[in-house]
Amino acid sequence: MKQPNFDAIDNLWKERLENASAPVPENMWERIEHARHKKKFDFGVAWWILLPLGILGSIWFLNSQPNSNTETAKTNNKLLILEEAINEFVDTAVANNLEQNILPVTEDIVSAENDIKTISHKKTVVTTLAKKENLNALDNHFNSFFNTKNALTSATSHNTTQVSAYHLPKMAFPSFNSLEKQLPHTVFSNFSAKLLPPSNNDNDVGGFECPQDKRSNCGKWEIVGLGKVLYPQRHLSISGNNSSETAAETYLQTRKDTEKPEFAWSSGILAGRKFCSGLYLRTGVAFSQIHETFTYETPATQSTTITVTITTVQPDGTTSTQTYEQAANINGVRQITTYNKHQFWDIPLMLGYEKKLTKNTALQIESALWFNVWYKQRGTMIDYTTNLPANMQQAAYFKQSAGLSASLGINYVANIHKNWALVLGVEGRKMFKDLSNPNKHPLTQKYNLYGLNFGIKYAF
Amino acid sequence: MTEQELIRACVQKNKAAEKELYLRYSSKVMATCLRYARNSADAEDIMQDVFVRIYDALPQFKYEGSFIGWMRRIVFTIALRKYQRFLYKHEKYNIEAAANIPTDNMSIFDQLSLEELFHLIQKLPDGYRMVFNLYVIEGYTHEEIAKMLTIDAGTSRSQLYKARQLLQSWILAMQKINL
Repeated sequence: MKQPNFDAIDNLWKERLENASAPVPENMWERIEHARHKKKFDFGVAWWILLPLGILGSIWFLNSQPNSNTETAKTNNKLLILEEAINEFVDTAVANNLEQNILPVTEDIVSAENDIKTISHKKTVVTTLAKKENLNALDNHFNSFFNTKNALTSATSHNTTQVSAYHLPKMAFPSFNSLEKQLPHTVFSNFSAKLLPPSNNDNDVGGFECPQDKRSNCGKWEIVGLGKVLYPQRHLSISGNNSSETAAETYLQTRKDTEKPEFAWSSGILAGRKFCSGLYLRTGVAFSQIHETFTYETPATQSTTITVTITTVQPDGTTSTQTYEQAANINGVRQITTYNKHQFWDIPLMLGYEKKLTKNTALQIESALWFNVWYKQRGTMIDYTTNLPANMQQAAYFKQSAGLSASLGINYVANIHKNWALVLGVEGRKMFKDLSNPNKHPLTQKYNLYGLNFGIKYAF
Repeated sequence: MTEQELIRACVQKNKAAEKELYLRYSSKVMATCLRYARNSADAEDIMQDVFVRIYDALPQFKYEGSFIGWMRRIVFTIALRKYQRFLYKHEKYNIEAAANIPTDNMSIFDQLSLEELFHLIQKLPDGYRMVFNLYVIEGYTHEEIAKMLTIDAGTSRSQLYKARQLLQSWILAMQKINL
């Protein structure tokens, strides 16, 4: 089949259109300017504003939360009291000749005082149309109610935007043309670099342009929002002067028995510079918190009072209220659990090296010296003198001083956008400073922290 | 100011240079937009996006090719993004079905205005228009076009053929009307 001769026509089209110009609408420049202005809001700006606010807000929120303490009484004879109360209630109902259904209308624990020794339970029952044979239902209800409630529980870049050009000092070489002759060829091949011609700028005599693939992400400022979830390994030991004292040893054992490190977290923002060699330097601020639980049982006999208030509506419409109160000594212990917090501010000086793995991933090895300011300790601990629980702050068991710690970490970095990368890694940190106040007790208390790093990095 | 100086000034966010760059190249960019767009309104939208993108991407321009060629590539990218979902990925037309349109007498071509030429190209289906522009005007091969549009090279050939035939038929129809 004969092929049509399109080449000639293609040429006609090309000649007419390749370098054609067309009139531009008058308002086009304004439209472009408007669109560019709208576009100027980018995540970089949001990052600068929102991240520090977010971190500070989180710290404020977490710091403002009160320590939560729970107190639990462990007893074994509470049901006896309840049965008595119920029997008395039933007897009273019978005595009042109530003949129809007894319907509990409201029931609630009205008060449960913080002091476990005098917990009171109040139960209000409004009865209407009572009937004797249905009292068992109410009895069961009471039993069910008091059994299920613990009667003694109180309230309880890769990117390609940056051309890295290393310009030579003007006086280094007399002219650009002679530059290539003076530098051995191997210099260029080792650098894999290409010579840039001098620009019209008097101070520019040309230089090397690094290829994008070898120089991407180099020589950049970086901001890193970081979070850490850590396990606090506590070292509690008798300080040198008291190591022979039995009392100190007993106290050490009591502290170990009553306190248990749970977890730690850290959050902060770092900023720094990454150099073309892959090395980076960072500093910033972070807030960290170590969580521990303090558990203590008082081996004392507890006294409990149970109050049952019954309001009855008589068949004639009148109401009467009767209060039944039972007080008894209950054999049991009081268990106190307090969630202790050690809070501190960190100012790190970090040195790291980033090795590119693929186009969008990298491995970082970093070490840091952290300047820690011990900010606050909150919670309960055993007092050395009284051997009873005491408030940490009131007793000033800790020194509110500063200390140093050192860390080593390895991170995996994955670029998720032109300027953004996710960071995930592991870190170990040794804290050198003893937290204890030697005037208050004979123990030293230090921590090592091990855990996960996660963060998001913005490079520009 | 040379082109290179102008670009460098724009990279440094010099407002006057940005306006100068626009004034210097906007008419050529507009013509390119008209070739890739379905109509004038679309061409204006593309032009706006193109210049926003140009100013953003100027630091990436490496002076390795012509600046106008680089801008035309951006026009194509923006237009492709706009029409991509309308492109035919697999051409099903029979290439030989209408291969008998005469191509020897094209004297009317010179008589057509630029506006009429743009109009003819804009009448093409999106995929045909893309391939026609890339092959005939920009000079890409079918393999390159296939890669750019994520279609088969055969589809590119087929769409080019159909585009040519449609344009030929429209031009010949105009010729008859003029006679």
